Amino acid sequence: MSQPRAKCGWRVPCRWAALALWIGLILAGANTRAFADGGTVRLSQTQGPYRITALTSPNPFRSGPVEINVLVQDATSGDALPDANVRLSLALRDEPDEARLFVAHSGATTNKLFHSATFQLPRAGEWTVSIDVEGPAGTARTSFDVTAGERLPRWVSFWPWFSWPFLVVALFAVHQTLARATPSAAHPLSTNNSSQRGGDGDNLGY
Amino acid sequence: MNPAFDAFLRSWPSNPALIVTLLGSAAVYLRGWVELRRRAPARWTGAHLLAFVSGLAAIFLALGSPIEPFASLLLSLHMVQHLLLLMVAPALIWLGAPFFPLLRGVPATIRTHWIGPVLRARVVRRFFGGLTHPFVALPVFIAAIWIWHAPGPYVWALRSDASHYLEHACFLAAGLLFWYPVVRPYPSRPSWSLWLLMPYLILADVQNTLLSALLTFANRPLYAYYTEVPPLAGVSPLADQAAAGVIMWVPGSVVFLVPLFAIGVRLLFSSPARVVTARTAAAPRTRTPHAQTTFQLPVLQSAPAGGFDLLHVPLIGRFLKWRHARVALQLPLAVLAGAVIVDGLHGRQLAPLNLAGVLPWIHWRGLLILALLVAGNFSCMACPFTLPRRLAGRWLGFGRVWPHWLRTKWLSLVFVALFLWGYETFALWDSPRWTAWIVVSYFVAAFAVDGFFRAGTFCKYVCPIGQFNFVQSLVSPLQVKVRAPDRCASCHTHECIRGSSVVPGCPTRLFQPHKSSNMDCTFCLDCVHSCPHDNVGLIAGLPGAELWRNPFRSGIGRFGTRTDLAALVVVLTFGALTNAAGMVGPVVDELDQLRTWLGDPPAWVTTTLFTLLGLVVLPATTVGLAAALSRRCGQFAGSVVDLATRFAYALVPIGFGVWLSHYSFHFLTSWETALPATQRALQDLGYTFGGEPRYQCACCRPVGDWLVRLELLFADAGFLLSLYAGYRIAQREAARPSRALAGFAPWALLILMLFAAAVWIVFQPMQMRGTLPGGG
Repeated sequence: MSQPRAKCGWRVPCRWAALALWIGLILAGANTRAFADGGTVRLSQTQGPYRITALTSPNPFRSGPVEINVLVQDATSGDALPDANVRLSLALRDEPDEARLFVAHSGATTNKLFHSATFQLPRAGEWTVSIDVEGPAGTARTSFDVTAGERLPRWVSFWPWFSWPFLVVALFAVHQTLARATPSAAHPLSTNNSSQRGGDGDNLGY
Repeated sequence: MNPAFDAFLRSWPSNPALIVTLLGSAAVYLRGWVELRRRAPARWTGAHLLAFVSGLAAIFLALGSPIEPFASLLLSLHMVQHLLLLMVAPALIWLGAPFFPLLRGVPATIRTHWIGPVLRARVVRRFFGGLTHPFVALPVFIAAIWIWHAPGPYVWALRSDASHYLEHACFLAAGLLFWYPVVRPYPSRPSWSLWLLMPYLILADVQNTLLSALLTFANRPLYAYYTEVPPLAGVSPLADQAAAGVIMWVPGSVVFLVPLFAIGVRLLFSSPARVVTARTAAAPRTRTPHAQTTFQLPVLQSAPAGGFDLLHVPLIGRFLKWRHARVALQLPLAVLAGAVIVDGLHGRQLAPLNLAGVLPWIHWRGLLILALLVAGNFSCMACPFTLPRRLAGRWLGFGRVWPHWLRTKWLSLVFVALFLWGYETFALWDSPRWTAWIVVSYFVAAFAVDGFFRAGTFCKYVCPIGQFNFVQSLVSPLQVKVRAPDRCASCHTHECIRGSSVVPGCPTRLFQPHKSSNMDCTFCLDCVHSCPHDNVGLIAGLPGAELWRNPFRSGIGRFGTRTDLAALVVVLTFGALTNAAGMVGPVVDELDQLRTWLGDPPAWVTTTLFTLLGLVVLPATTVGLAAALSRRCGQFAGSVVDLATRFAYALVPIGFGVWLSHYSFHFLTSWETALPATQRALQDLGYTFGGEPRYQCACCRPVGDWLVRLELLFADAGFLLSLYAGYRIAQREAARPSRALAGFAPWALLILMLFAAAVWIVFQPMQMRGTLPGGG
């Protein structure tokens, strides 16, 4: 004798698949929003044929993962120059000879006007950031100083990932309070009925 | 094309959470709308659907389009973003009359039993009724606009992502509140007069005009941030600010004036009876029993129940129903076990390059736990150790009954504890030879026990891996159980346990009609194959629901009386943390210090002390204390041991979460290690078709942030399910409902401590066991 198929038997795997997809997308995409707003303006000045603006993230600036965005514009017309080449050089003020070099790419950040470089800043301290621009009107160089604070403990950047259950607990507490105050049908998960105790299994010795 | 404009068109933020949330909302709405439209096509028109989807699109435009990244450079664009969130999206969402479609669209269980009680609660209805009253909604709306457009908060929002999110959330919430009285989405029937909306909208427009004028006619930039960023396309900060003011003024005023005009026309030209009807049909509906019934229907009705059955899935189901499916799964595993034995005994004794060093400790454990998460106890199903069981029965043929005094989990509990101790003490993961001997001894033990005694004895009473699988599969989504209990009532042959002429009955003596949970179920599917009524399936259920139930279970009895089973659960839960803690930097350092302090004894002394602490001392004291406190606070009946036995099952999910985090971490960072180990083993055997070993794959991958998040998610889910299970157990065991919470509190504290320990471990530097140095 064959068993008729459950009418909505695919709902459960579909829901689980949707949940897995959602979690996967969140896990994959959570990084991409980190510094989407550009950051703190550190420098905006005309240097040679260009107007150069530099922004840093995070705010406050600290060692660990950082992003530096540079906007290069034509000094005369104000037109953005996304095709210019931008190189960054970072050195601790006390150790000017040990510079770290990065290339800032246009397209590496959400706002395609900017040239962006994302990297790990190794230490806290006074850093000098030099910007070299090479564009259609020639080259230009400028720099700014920035103080980087101590790196935050790793768990700080993950706190939403282990604290959201407490929000769920709070919501559940509210739900239970409201559910108790509101007459309703028996809870679906309540399966405590006498028919499930004992029964044929006892008599059959299974 | 202007480079700035070109860049604008290409600047799409990557925000999967927003996209998935919006798509999810649209899908839920659509699902509910389709069902409602089928019943009442006149009420649920395409305009509702269009309006709701347009509202979501407006949110996407504001937060997920190039407007978002450019809002920090141009005030005028930022104003467009604000208007979309304040005026466009909320009004469109309410025009979609989203209450019923969204409710109808969510799964029936959630709708009826989780959302329903909240919506029915008088306090909630009063709260939202008050919040959406024009006297409240308008001040909230105005306050949100003026506070966030003050220079201080505005610049604060520009400088910080978190405050920017907060600003947008405030705008959307204030907009939803403001437009609710204006749109009056079905089934809203406010009691106040429509005339009230005239001053409501006029006042809103007046404040909008004032703020717009302030921005438009200011002789200096009001927001310092926009003077710091470079002007784009030659637009000065002041001109940009004036443009923002105009955008707020003109389109903003239109948004207020259009509904004002429509309502005015309706009030002036509609019959008085219609206006009165609209006014008086409101609040009383929420207060009468009849009204409650009306409100519940149709959205709070339960949908017909239906269960997913893996055996009904076309290819997989057909395969699993095949009588030799288990053997087909066991044979490849047996071949791999053979490879592990050969390579472990004769291969190079470097764990990351030996099959015995990687396959059991990285791959098999990882896949086992992931299978438990997504399906069930498929590890026991594919277990190669029981493959020669029939051969053993034929050769040895004793078929004796396992001694009655050993028919508990105590023996297997000792084996579990010994295994966890031996793993740390003898660094089993680092010794291919030891690993190989363990596999050999497993084959021998399974052969001997199932040869001397009835088949299935080894799995049920001896095998430590089996006990691990049985306990963890209590939170798996699939369960072997009967499809239609009524059909079993008329069955008198009971092939599921007695067996048929060709298929044996359940080896672990579980009688299907009274089987409940996955405990002691090896997923051998003998019951599926032997049932003449095709009435046994692999059916989905609520993961963990068996933990708080305490019915009589065939072959097991009641969970609440099985102290041995509860002890096994406790040891496996604390074992999860002990096992993971044994490989994190701070614990390893502490053990080294302890060793120095003890005068440098052999390493096994400190690992033994550590294991004793983790598997015996801590579980006994914390669980005992929780039980004693719970008994006192909750005034539960029974002894402390009884109570510990009953509540111990609530710890299964948090333990599972930690095992899952731990094993998936190793699997996901080191899965490539199988390649060089296999290449090396083949090369040693003289086969060159595998190529030169890719030794770089023997180093683990760097630990990405996504993996940390995944580990935390596993721990979070375990924590929540443990709390819920404990709460439900307390509700069932408490003599009076009022004492349930007090009785549950000590267990909640214990679960919280276990969760805190799990989170702490996730953030510690970890030994990359089974891999070569140089990776992660």
